Amino acid sequence: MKRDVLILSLLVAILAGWLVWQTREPATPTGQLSLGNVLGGSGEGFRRVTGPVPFEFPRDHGSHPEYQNEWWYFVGNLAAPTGERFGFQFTLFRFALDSGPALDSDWQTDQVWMAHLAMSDASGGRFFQQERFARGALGLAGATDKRWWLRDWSVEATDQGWQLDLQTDDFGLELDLALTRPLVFQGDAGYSRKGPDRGNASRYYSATRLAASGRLRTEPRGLNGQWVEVDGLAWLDREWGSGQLADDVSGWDWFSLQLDDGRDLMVYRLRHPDGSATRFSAGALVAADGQTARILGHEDFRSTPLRWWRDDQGIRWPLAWRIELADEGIDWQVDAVFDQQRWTASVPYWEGMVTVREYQQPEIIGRGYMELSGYAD
Amino acid sequence: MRLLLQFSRRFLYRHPGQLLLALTGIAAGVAVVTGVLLLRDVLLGTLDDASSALSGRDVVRIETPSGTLDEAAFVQLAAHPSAPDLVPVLNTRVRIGNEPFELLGLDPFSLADGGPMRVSGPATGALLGQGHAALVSPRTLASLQRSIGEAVTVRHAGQDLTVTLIGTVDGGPALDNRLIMDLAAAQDLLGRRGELSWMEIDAGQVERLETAIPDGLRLSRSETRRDSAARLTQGMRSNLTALSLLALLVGLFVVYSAFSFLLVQRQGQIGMLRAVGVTPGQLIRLLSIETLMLAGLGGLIGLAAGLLLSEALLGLVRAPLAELYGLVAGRSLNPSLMMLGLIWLATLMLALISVAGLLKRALAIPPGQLSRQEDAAGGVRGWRPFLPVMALLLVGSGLILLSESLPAALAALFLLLAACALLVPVVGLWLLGALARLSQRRLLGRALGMLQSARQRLSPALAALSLALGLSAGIAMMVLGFRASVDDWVDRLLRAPVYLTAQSGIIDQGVVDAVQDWPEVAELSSARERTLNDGRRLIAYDLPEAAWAGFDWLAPTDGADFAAFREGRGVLASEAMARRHDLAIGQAVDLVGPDGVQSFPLLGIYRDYASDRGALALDAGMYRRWFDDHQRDSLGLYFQPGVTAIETGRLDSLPGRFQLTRREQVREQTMAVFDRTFRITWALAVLVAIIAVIALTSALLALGLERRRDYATLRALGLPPAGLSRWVVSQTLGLAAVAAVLAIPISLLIHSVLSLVIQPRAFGWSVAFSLPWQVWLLLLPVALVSGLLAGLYPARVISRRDPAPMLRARA
Repeated sequence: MKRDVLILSLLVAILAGWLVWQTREPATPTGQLSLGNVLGGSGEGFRRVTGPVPFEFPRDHGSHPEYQNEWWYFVGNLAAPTGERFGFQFTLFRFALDSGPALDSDWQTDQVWMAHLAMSDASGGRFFQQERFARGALGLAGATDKRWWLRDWSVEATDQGWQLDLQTDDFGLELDLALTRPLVFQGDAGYSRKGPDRGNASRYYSATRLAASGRLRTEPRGLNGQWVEVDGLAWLDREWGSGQLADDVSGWDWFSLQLDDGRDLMVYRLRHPDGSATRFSAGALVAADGQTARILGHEDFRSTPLRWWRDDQGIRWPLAWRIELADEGIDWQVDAVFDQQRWTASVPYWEGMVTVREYQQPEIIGRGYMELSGYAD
Repeated sequence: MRLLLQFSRRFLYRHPGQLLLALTGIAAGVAVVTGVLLLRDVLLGTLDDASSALSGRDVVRIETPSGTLDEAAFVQLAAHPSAPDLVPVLNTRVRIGNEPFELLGLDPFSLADGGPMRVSGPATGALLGQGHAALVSPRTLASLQRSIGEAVTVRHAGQDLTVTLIGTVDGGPALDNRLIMDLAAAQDLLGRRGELSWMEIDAGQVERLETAIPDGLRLSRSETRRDSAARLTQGMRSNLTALSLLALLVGLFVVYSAFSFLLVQRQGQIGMLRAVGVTPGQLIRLLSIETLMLAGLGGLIGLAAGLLLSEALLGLVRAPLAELYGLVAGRSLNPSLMMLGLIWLATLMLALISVAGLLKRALAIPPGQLSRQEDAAGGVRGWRPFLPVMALLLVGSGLILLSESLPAALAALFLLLAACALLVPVVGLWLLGALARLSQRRLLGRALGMLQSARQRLSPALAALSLALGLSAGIAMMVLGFRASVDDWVDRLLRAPVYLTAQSGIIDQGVVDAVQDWPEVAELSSARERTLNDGRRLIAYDLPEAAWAGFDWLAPTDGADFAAFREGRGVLASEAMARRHDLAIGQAVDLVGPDGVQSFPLLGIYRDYASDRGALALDAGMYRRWFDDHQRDSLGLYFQPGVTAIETGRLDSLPGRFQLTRREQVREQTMAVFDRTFRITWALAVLVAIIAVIALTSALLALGLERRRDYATLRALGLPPAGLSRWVVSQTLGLAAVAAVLAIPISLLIHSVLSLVIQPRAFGWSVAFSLPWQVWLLLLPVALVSGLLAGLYPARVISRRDPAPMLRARA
């Protein structure tokens, strides 16, 4: 009897198991990219940056499709008359692919564009983000010396600088940005080395202080009266190259700081997988009058994380830093204005507004933006 | 109780054949129901066609009535201020081998996460720069028997194209039999530069675009598309529904039959149990547990068999779905646990219910009775049994007469069959009696006479058998009758000896003029199809007098005004169109053209089985002037007297690749499509017939075995074993013959209702009623063979047994 029950149960179990297996729902895979991978690439088959070449403006504001990747990077701190503070980031990325065989189609392209638009509402602690992709065909996305765009997100060149018109369902931004000081050419006259190989480099220039004015909204479109007038300071980074990053770089910590006394500081720390800085970390310090910039090598500054924040996926991000430039007498503390300014779209990174204070002092002496990448890998 | 259970177990061990038969019966019934239900499910799932299945429900499509839109519209909308994410799609149907596939050209960068499509962007990004490369689902890759990196040959518009499979993409069954390509590669491959099929957008975001949508484009919501696809395949689904209802009916009988058979087997056992003091309560529990275990196990086996069955049937439905409706069905089924569970529970319930009736009989067995008592004698008891039959017949016929709807017709069919099920045993037993009286003096007469006393046992078996046989035959007759109608229609319609179609390129005025100049050609006919803005199909015909004669006019007219048609002073409507839109001759039909609405009087209604959507026909000259469309889809070539063929090489002078098809070939192709369409119907008919044979065999086996005591008496009276075998076999053969005879009127009823009521309501066309009586000739042999098979085993067992112990049981 026992044996029968056993055999019967086994038979039933096998049948039931098979039936249940037949009814299973297929799993849907999800995938995230790493910013290092997106902006890296071997550079093989593309033109590479191997030494300083004089910039030609306005032509160099437009895209350089012969290089593997390129970006147009705006960040800024804004304030409303009521004292509310906001931050924004708008980045246009361009990636070149192997072109493949010729196809009889207007959709054929070897250029892919990605745009990131984010807004931080400091008083509400809210972080808005939207990501878009488009192929570089049919005029869906592109960058000329006059206009940089992806679908209806656009940056138009003006006499003073640029005009941004960036709208989404949930938030939007209309800003005029005016150049207030000369462009800074990073590295050796814009030849910015990122690794031991001569080709591990990019061409890199910055507009470190743009006067920003315009309006923004943090409410869904269509509601009346939600636009907020704002002004403040913005920053533009322009960079392009092929295979910039050496294999031993696992991420970077990048700071753009605008001091109330007129100085601007940009430093980035390229990290080895063990967390230590590579010798190609670099930066630039713009003097208070805006007319001279000192290019910094890795030995000129030190950046040390002070506080770590764990996001809801368990990833730890260093959100407070001590930045020291000993021979400039700089010993500053940089703090995230609020923690939740992390990108959760296809590329995980942290990019948000920060305050600058003298180390361990209460008074805010400047504001800026910080970008942390490579922590989620 | 434990003791009792061991007792049951011993019984089943000693009679493995009966255990097997019971399990087979239950499993067969459950399998058919599961198989057909799953198939119906797939069919419904297919209606969420290609990309709405890819994208989920809440998606709006921006499209044009013609199905093709200029990609400039995408650029315009995508760059519109605050435009939501739009997904451009280029799709087409292709074939790989004999399998229908859908080729989807997509823009991977419009598929960003959270966008309207479920395929993830990064996965499809791999397609860029790879030339004619495609992604497929892992299941499709396996079924194509290819590995990544290999190429497949894709047949499209008469051309063989090569596509390399470079990876897989997981999207569930919705992606089965789909090739996902980059839009650029798809346009290049198909030679459709600048074209899209439609754009998709999240339903929640569509409001913002509504005002910006360029002229000529329209929005279609997934539920509307689903509805229209549902209308398209309504005929096919109702066919399946009817068949699944009928299969269910037969399945129920089989399950009931299996249980009542088991119980009959154990009458003696039950009598003994009662005698040793087992209470009725214990007996009920014992039998319930046994039933549940048997039904549970049989049900599980049936579910598994049903899954396999539906996979096999799916193969039969896929081709016609793609050919007739342009829908690519998923490669496999996704049964839900809920559905399987419900079928299983229903099986248990049904088993319990059928056993409850039998239990009443079991409990009526007096303690100690080790063998079966005779049924109460007597023939048909008055008119009372006919009351429910009359009621069912009345309600069923009333439903057909009073309601014009398809569900009413299906319900009526079900009711009429139920009436048959009730009527068959009465008539069947009367027939058996008559047969017995006719051959009273012979062995056959006596053997059949003995059956009269087994009324209760025989009734369900006879009903199940006759219904199943009648059903198979009725369906076969309907298909054959319909096939004859279609063949007549094609034969009549195809007037030209040769037809010309384009493999690549188009038939424009230049081609028409060139063909007209061929010396063999006397006259040309042409056809051009267009879907109007409101979704109706319009066919523009150039009709010479000879072609006009090919139209089969339906009442109330015998013909239509040819001159009026040729001058564009009226339109024609196919029967399905007239029925669906309630059109009458003389009535004005509004057509929406590029420059507004024009009204045409309806000149005639013609027979047409080409599409159950129906069509309107307009003179091509009028059409060309109005729509400024000078293309033709096909040309019919009428020869000069004495010419029998077009000289080879003539086609070379035409710009593009064209093909000449002889009239007979067109007819063959049409009938091939027809046959493929009805393969599923045939398969189900055969399935039901197989179940009928199982039911018959089990019922007759039961009968043979339960009458051992009577046989023992016969042996004791001096009937030799061989004579007894003949006795048993003549009983089973007699029963089978009666069932076959009764199946004839049932099949006629089913054929009539399917052909005359269900077909016109489901497809919109009427079928000339014909009587393919040859099917009936098959009924008798099938029934007799299964009767013979079912009789041989018990005959062998019984004739070998020693009659003495059997006789002693008569205490």
